[in-house]
Amino acid sequence: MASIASISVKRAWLWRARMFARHRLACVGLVGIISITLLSLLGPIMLDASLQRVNLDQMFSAPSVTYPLGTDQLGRDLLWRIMAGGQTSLWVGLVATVLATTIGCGYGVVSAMHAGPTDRFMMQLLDAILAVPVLLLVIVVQAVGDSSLLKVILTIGFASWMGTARMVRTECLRLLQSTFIQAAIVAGASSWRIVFSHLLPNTLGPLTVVVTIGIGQAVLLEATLSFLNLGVPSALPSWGNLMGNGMSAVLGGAWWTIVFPGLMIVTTVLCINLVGDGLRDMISPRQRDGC
Amino acid sequence: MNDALLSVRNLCIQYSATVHSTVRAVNGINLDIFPGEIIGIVGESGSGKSTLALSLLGLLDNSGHIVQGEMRFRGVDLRGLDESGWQKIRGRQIGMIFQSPEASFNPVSTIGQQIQETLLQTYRNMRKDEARIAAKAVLTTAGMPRAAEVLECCPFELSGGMCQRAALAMAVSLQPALLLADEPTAALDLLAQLEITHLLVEMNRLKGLSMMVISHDLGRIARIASRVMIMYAGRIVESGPVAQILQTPRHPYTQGLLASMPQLEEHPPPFLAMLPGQAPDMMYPVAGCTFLPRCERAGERCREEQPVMVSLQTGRYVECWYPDAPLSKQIQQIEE
Repeated sequence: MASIASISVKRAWLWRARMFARHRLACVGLVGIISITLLSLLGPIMLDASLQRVNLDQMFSAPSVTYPLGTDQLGRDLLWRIMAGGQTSLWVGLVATVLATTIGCGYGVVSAMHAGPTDRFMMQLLDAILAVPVLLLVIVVQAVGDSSLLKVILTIGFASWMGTARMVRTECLRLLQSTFIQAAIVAGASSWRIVFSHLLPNTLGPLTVVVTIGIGQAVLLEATLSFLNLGVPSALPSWGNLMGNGMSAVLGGAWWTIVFPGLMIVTTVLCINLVGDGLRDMISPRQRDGC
Repeated sequence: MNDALLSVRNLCIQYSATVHSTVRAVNGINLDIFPGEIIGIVGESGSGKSTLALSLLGLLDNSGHIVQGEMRFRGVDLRGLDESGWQKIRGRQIGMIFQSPEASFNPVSTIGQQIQETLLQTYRNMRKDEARIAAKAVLTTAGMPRAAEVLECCPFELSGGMCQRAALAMAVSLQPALLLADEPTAALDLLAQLEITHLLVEMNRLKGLSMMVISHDLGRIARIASRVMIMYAGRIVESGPVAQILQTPRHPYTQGLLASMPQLEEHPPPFLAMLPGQAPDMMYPVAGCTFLPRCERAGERCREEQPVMVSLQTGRYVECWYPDAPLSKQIQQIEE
């Protein structure tokens, strides 16, 4: 039966994968996000490195065979910069979300485990934090002092953990009512073990969805900040930076400096959201709305 | 009476339902469990059976609290325990199995992992491979066929009966002295019910494991328990040895319960007797007997004073002002 067991676990995963595959748009999203990531990682290695150098002869060249997406205000290849910028944008999105998820999980679990006054206080504090306009706060924080990649990541991470905390708390409260948690407590399990072998593994499903959507949101927030020149240092290319730099050039007719980075942002976030939707349907097929 | 494994005195538990109202789930229970015996707690839904069991393991949720009373396990005052004190009691001294076997296991890990974790948490020196062997051994003791393979199974791959066996194995893996079984067979099919009942009796005989079995099925309890306590509205209304309770029930509620058991010997089977009325609303305390609205023998005294527990013989108690009253007419008809 051991073999049967492993087969049926495999089968369960196959079933889940099939649920995901049935969601066509989610598959498109998944393919999209994988290609964007691969292009960002491999592009700068494969392309001719000389294209990224400042070349004032080629300032604001329109898209051509040499420069498929045109050049920027210093004559650098926009394709190359978009690919390199993808690395920054995706990295910031990913790390900031990991940070936000960690904080959110911790906060949610602690809150759920301390039912009563502590939980009530933590939830009211969360409500208070949610009442602060995030964008405003983030802009103020970024405007103070020097900008660095780490600072952007920290700012975005600390600005976006609240939804996760709520979700994790709700899930944990639901799980804490369930018989298997009681059975584990009755068998002498400590709080640590309840959290790490029972609560967290069982929130993994909904958490995946929240994390996926979160990455998209973080990419957007980074783009917004960088566009306002308050994000990653301007020496580092990122999609937001590129758009910010292109702003003035657009008036002079160099539409490509803003359209292509913008398209990348939109496509990436759209793909991530589609994957998130697919994951949600995979976890709770009943919520699916005909697709 | 000091040699009792567990003794409970005048236990009262209330749930705060809303800000101003409380639900009096358990109202002054006295109970002794001696080493090696199985006692049965019988009562209908909402009579406080499960609340009683949960309180014995410190598992009441936040709205429930023990208002008064005493709970001692081997002389240790359970009410004075903090969380780490409870951890020493739970599993190692008092184990518990639940009504829904499939829900008793974490759905995302295997049966083996969960039993091994339980063992490793308590026996810190145990190695992983030793834990695995021990987990297999407890499954075998619980009568699990192909124990080694079940270790690798996730809960959803086992039938209800097998899950309950596994749950029982996990509950006894730390060798507790007392096992609380909260309707252990309620969610199982008939065959599995018989198997689990048989297994409980076997564990009691072989290991001397004491048990408190909660059920609403007096017939099933009668097969395994030596003593039975009948609960009604948070009180034990009658208690005593099984045979005596079955043959000469004295409380009108017990009589009603017995009369409402299906008799398949007769053909055609007679209609089931029904107790008129409903269990009382536990939000509103009544001055007299809680069973009064459903009782046919009630007199003036029942309206004014709560009945006290009277001893009929050694170990035989009933809480009724008129324990010697003849059977009610309705029940008599059925019995005839």
